[in-house]
Amino acid sequence: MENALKDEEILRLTIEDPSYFSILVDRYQIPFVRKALGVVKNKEEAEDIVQETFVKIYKYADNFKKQENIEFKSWAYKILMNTSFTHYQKLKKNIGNTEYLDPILYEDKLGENNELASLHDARKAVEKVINSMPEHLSRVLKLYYLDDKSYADICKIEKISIPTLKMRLFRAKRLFKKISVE
Amino acid sequence: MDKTPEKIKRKILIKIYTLWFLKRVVPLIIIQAMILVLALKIFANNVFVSKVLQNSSVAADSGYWIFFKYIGLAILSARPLTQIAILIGLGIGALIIRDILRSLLTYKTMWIRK
Repeated sequence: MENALKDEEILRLTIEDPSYFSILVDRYQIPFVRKALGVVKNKEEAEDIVQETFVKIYKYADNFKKQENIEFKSWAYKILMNTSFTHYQKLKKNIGNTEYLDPILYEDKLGENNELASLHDARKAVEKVINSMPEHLSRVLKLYYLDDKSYADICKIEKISIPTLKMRLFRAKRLFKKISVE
Repeated sequence: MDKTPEKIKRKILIKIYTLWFLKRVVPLIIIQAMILVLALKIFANNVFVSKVLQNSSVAADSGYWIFFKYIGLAILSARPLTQIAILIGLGIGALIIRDILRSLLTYKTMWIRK
């Protein structure tokens, strides 16, 4: 019966009774690890990120309650991505050559250009490509693929309609591929 | 079977439980304990406890009914401030027991809920 509860309701219940949190952990633990792994490429690190993310979700559950019309899923993924990038930054400082790439951009890039010798090259190349794109296109690309924002969220941020966003994303991807080939 | 998700889940739930306990239960128990100490202080200032205990042991020798009657009469004949302190003490004591039981029950449920 508890499985029928919405994520938002469960989160509300966890404030008084944390035992409900195990339902959220069951639902999101594996997808979270997969997503974090896409950023840090290290299983142990990804698991740490997921633990930290769940703790933050619980800590800030009160804040979520106050925000209207926000889905738990997108809110939780936002926390996960922020935590992942913070961890990545730390790793980068400590190790110096840690790689991170969104799987979509990474696969796209490798698919386009097989002569890239290593992930390091791929990362540099993706950064270079994104930086060389017009700002309005690179922005939507980053928001959609790297920040994992929904169409609705990006439309709000960019103050554009969904058809415009779709067109921009299409153009951004096409330009990304074009610049990558060059 | 991969045991890793269960291990991570356990770690996460322990952290969540600790957070909940520190955030929700501990402050409550601290406040309740402070009120209880205050109530006991008022009680101790107004009642000659050793005398009451002495009398109650005599009453207890005569049977349960006499003992409870003695306790009841002692409370009823006490000053209003002492009566209030006793009531507060009993109420807060019950709340502390409730919170401790709730914490134990929640901890048990954390591993069962699916």
